Amino acid sequence: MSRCRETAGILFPKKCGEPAVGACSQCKKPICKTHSRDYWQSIACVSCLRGLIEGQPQQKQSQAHLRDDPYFYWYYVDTPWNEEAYGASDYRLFDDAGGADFGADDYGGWEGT
Amino acid sequence: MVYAVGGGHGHAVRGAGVASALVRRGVATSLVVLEAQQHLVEALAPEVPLLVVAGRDHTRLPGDVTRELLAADRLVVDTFPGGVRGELQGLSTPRWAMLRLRRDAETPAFLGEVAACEAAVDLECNLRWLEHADVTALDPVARNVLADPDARDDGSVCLLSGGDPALDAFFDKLGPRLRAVGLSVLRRAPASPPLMFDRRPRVVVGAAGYNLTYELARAGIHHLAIPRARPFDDQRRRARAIAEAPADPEAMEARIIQLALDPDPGPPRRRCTGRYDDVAAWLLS
Repeated sequence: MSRCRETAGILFPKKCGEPAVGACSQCKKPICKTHSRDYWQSIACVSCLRGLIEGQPQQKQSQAHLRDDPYFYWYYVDTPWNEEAYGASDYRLFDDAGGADFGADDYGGWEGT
Repeated sequence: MVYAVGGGHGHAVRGAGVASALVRRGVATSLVVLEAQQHLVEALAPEVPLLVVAGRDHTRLPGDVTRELLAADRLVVDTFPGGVRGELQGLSTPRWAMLRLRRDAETPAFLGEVAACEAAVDLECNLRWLEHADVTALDPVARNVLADPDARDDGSVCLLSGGDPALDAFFDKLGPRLRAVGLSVLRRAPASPPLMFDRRPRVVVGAAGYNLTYELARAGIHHLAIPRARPFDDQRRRARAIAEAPADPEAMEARIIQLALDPDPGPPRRRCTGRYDDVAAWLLS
């Protein structure tokens, strides 16, 4: 049985060595349950996800659920946390102005067909 | 052959459900999906052989896929009888259409595509969007998303963005505000695993696509919907009929808190009973 080769910790790096449950879809190393996270339809290790979040703003946004994960706390702590007011983009989500044609002119591609 | 090519996860999930039900009934069935949905479908229906369309944007299907489609005895096509980009038009294989709400239901183009099918079933007849004598009406279908369907809810609130950046940005603000009043808030990854919830949340906040809406209705979970704009689907109409759609961020927040803190909020407004086996039975009849 292969062993987890992830070394990321919540605060400090350390060797893991727990039984692996799969391989990271990014770096291919074996990872255990503690160090694997859902990444779209596959899994990724903590180190790779941290790298993606740090390097690509859109990944930080699309993986925003990791904000609640202790392994990723420090990667989201710079953003406002408590009682942030709703903005125009939030109200637009609820905008009813479209009526019957709501979204009907959005022919951008396959997404959401 | 079940053709479930389309954007998002909806077509693939429905296609996997129907293909799996057909396989269970002993019918030689395979499923056509986009590459982006391959992992999801393999997890949902590992017993169903797949035909994967590479890439994301095809107005013409690859030759090997077209050959397989031509060799099939029947095509079961989800939502778009002529293909989402018309890629199935001109294909001679007899086909059955499996339809859900479309905003262009009254257009000659859509009705022409339906008329070209041997049969069609409306899987969202409760919305009365396609009342036609030649179309069979069935209840909406939904997979079970709860590990224990009989478990009591744990009072938590689940924010489900499905990877939608606009919803994630809103949830970035909504989540901390709900936690500040003591609620248990869970945010889920974009992926949609075969079993979505190991415990029953009290409230799920998310879009109003077909699958999520009816899966939550079947599970008896309160669904506070934020309808998203789609070219063909009408999430607003579905949300108003099946879920709840608060009017603005403050109304959403207030309704979540009301439901989560209520010791006995009562069941959601509707429950649906359709099963993929019902669709398979109709196909075989």
